[in-house]
Amino acid sequence: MLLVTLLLGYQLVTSRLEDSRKALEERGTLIARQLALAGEYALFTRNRTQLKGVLDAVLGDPQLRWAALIDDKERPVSWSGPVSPSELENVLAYSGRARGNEILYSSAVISLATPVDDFAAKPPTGADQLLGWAVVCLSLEPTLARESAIFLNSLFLILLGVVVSVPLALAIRRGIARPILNLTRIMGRVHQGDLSARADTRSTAELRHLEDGFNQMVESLETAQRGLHGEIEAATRQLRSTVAELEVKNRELDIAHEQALAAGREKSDFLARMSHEIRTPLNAIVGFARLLQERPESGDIDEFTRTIQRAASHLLFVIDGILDFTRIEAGCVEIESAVFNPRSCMEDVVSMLVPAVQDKPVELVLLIHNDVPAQLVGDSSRVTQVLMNLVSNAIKFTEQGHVLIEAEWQRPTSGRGRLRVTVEDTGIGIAPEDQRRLFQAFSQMDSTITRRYGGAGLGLAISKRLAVRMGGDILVESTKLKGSRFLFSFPSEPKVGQQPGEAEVLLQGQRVLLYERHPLSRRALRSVLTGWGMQVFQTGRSSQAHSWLERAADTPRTFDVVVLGLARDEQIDPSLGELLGPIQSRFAGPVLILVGTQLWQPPSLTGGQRLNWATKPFRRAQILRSLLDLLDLQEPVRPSPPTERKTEGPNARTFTGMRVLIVEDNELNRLLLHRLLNGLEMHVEEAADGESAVKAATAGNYELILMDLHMPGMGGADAARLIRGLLGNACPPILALTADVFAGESGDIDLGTFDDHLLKPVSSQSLEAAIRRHATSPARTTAPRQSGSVPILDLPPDMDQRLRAEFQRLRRNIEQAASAGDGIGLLDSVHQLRGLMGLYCDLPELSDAAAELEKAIRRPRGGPVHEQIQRLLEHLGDLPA
Amino acid sequence: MQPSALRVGLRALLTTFRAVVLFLGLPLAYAADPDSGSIQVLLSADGTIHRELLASLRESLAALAGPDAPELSVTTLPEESSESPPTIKSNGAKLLVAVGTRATELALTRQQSIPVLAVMIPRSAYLELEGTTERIGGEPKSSAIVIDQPVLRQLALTRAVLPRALRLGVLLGPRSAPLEADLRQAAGDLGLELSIVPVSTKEVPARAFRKLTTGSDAVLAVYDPVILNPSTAKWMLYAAYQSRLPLIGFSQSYLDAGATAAVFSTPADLGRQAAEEVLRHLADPDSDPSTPIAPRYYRVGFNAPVARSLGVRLPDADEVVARIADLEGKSPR
Repeated sequence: MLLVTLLLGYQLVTSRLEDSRKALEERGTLIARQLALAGEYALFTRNRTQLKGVLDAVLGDPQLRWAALIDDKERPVSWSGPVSPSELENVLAYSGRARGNEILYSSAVISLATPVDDFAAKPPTGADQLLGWAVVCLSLEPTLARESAIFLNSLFLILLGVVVSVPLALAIRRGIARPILNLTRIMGRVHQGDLSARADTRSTAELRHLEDGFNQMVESLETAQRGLHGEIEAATRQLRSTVAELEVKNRELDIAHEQALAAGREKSDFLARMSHEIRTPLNAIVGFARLLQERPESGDIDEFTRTIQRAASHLLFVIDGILDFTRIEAGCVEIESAVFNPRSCMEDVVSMLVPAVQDKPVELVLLIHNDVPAQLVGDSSRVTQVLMNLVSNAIKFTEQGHVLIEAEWQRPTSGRGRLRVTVEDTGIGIAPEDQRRLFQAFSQMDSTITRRYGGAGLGLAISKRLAVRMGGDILVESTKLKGSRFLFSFPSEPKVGQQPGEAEVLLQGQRVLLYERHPLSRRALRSVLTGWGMQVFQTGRSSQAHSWLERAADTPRTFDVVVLGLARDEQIDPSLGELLGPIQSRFAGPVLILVGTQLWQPPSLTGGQRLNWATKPFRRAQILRSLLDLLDLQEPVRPSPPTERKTEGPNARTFTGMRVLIVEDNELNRLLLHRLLNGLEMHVEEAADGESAVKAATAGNYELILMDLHMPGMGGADAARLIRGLLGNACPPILALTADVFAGESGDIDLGTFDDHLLKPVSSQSLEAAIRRHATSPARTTAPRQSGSVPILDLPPDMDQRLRAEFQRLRRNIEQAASAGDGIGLLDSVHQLRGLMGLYCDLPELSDAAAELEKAIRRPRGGPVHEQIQRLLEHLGDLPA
Repeated sequence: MQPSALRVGLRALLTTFRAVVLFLGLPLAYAADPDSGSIQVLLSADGTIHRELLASLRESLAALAGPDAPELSVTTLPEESSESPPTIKSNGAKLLVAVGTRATELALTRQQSIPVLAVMIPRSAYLELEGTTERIGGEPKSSAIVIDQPVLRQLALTRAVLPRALRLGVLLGPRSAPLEADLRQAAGDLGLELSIVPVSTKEVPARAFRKLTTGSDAVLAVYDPVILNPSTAKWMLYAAYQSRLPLIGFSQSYLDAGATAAVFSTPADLGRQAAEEVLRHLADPDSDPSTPIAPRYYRVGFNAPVARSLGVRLPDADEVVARIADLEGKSPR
């Protein structure tokens, strides 16, 4: 702006100066021209007066210093003003030029031609005549003064311009340029993404509007972007959450899918089992019904109808179970409210299950606390059903130790009381993961639990639902390999106004010495006895019992009665003698003996001592009656006394001549069984595989068939089914033989095919008990004999040789199968080996190794089994050839 | 060859060619028209006035002679006469009409066989040419229709314009000096006093103009190219105007330049008069033409603005002409 001002100023000065000079020049030229015109005639006529007049007239101009007219020869003709003729000489050379502070201008004095002759040959061109020159001299002073004034004015204007333009420029810079630069800079920042940038709003007017507008725009942008980010984040969050939900749902779906698959599998299995369970008795019913129809005159009508009835009952039972569950599920089960005796209820359950523990070193103990009311209001059948299920499960899972059924009455401060029954066992326990689905229907966790319902997997599910329907619950506590506790509780109300029976009153104050080695049984007995008001002296040691009796003999107040709970080993001599001898010598009173088996033969006591015996677990009424009887106390007459066992125990049966078929692929097993059965004086025939077994069974009239499950070719189960199918109602009991503890779960052994199963190693006792349970022949009484009369390991030399040879053969087979990768052959050989191991169980390491190997082979996702094979072969190699 | 030398060479060649053409061309031109007509017309130039006069000549001849009108053989002189003057051959022509001073000079000096009628030439010029011809010794069979109006006509016009004028200033130069007697005669007839200012050739006429106006009632301009030429004419007008005196001129041009009134003949007037002279010569070739013949046909003109500024009342032109005719003793045209 300053530069522009200066340039404009310069232009102004120069143009004005130029104008001034031009004006001067024009003026001088004009004056000279005027003088030339005015002086033309005077110069032509040389009229000096006129010339002077003309010059003087011109000199009226104040700036004109002098004026002169010179002739065409440049000689001065006339002049006016301060000029000398000498100065006028050669004056034209200075025309238009400054000379000192004056300047000269000249103009030619020309006389134009005037035509005068009409007939002149040529027009008067070139006739114009130069008369002379008019010269004027102008003073430069006014011009110079004007120029200096112009210069000064212009300078002033320039300075003014500068003075005005500098602040103006500064103001423009501050007011316009700087805000615009600032705005540009901010725009740059915004362009680079910095939306927090804001323009200074210190400007005024339009720029302020611009800045405000820009800021609003950026703010809108920022808000929009923030909103956008927010929306994106929200959308992302939502997406994540949706994805997470989807994942959860996927997992749930997976779980549900797996559950559905599992449920489907279980249901299929369940249906298969149910189908089998239903078809088996139905088959019998249909078959025998057809026989009845075809042979109405047959003498076997009674037998046929009994069988049909039995099968129908069984069928009914199975269907009842299914219906039960279905009804419970549908909410159609009515829980009755009737008065019942919880003690009897529990005792009945225990009594029914006693046979199950006969062959096991399992102490079945029923402990009913004395505070349990004698009569409660409730549904006894459902309570029985539940307890039956729980106790049978406990028994079936417990190989040794005890099964305790403990009942107590929980009396809250307010509201209804609660009967709590704890079924505790020392069995294999239940893994935590299995506990969760223990009460689910169709659960295959352990089908032995639901064996009572034909392996339908419904027992615990039904029990749980029944308990819940009764207002109670079933809880489970279990530790794998240590045992389980099922807590069954339900609310109930005691029957009011009940009084202790008269018989119980009779026993009050009676002194009783209680000897029982098993603490739980001792506790149960003591509880009963003290409940009757008896004074109980209990001990688990025979020596102390003897000691107390000895000391009491010396006192006037001796024991009124001695109750002895005998363990298995104490039930037979010489232990029995060692226990009873000192008692007889020290105590002359009555003795009550409780034994674990019905096959017990009480010793004959000397000295007229009164003795009575009963089985464990005991029934209260039975003990009461026995005690009253022994103490010669009058028992009030009861309308329906509970079932009791007389001192003579169960009837012994004889198996002499009984026709038995042994189906066993292993020769040694066959031999052993043969011998065992021969010991029972049975008529034994053998079959080595399924096909020959079927042939023999249909041809021979057998009373019992012992069937090994695993055989080459036709398996035991198939053969048994075939036999049953062929013989129908005439089919003898078929007992399965297996070394697999879990064989019962696999479905191979079901009650439709086999009447029972015997786990290897087969003891003479279990064999005899099983036969006794299932033999269909007429009752044969047998003379009392020593149990375990056939020593299992006491083999004759030839037998031992053959056994060892068999071991070596199996070893070779195992080696060959392992090297050939023949899994089935390997499994078969190992199974045979385990069969032998079952027979000869004094080789525990070898037995373990075989079991491990078989388990490893049978594992669903089987890994390498080389280790197990190697271990087994090592143990086999240890055997002396 | 340098370009300037080439140009010089070409120009010299061209000049030589033109000279040869002119020298040989004129005799050839005349020879080419041996018996084409009885009248030869030689024009000084191809100017407007020449064509006007020629046209008037033809028309007048046709009007006067009808079908017997002589044929005109017209020749126009080149613009610039060459260094060697062209020769003129008669070719049987009975009269040579030379139009203009230059044609007259050629006609008189280059041939003696054909009688010459000079037309449109100042009296002084014709007399000078005639004298020259006589000095050569040729037979002057020539006459001329001069452009100079008789002084009576000018004085009569002056009287008509200024009826009360007494004194009339007249400037006489070397060429017009012979008119002094005629002037005084005519002035006397008209009751005018002349104030004659003689001017020599070398004298600056400016002062003479001032003398001329002193004591005069009007100024009379007499044709004399020496003293009254395009350079000086306006100063005479200026001096007269300065003294507020009317100036009586002798040409249309001077009238236009500022003279108050003038008497003059146009080329057509001269052509007409020439036709009459031609027919007269053809009719009587031996008649001696009176020398030189004043224009028979003329007219008067006024400059009205000048007259108004000088406060002069102008008379009717026709009346003036009639009066002049009356004075000249002739009937007006």
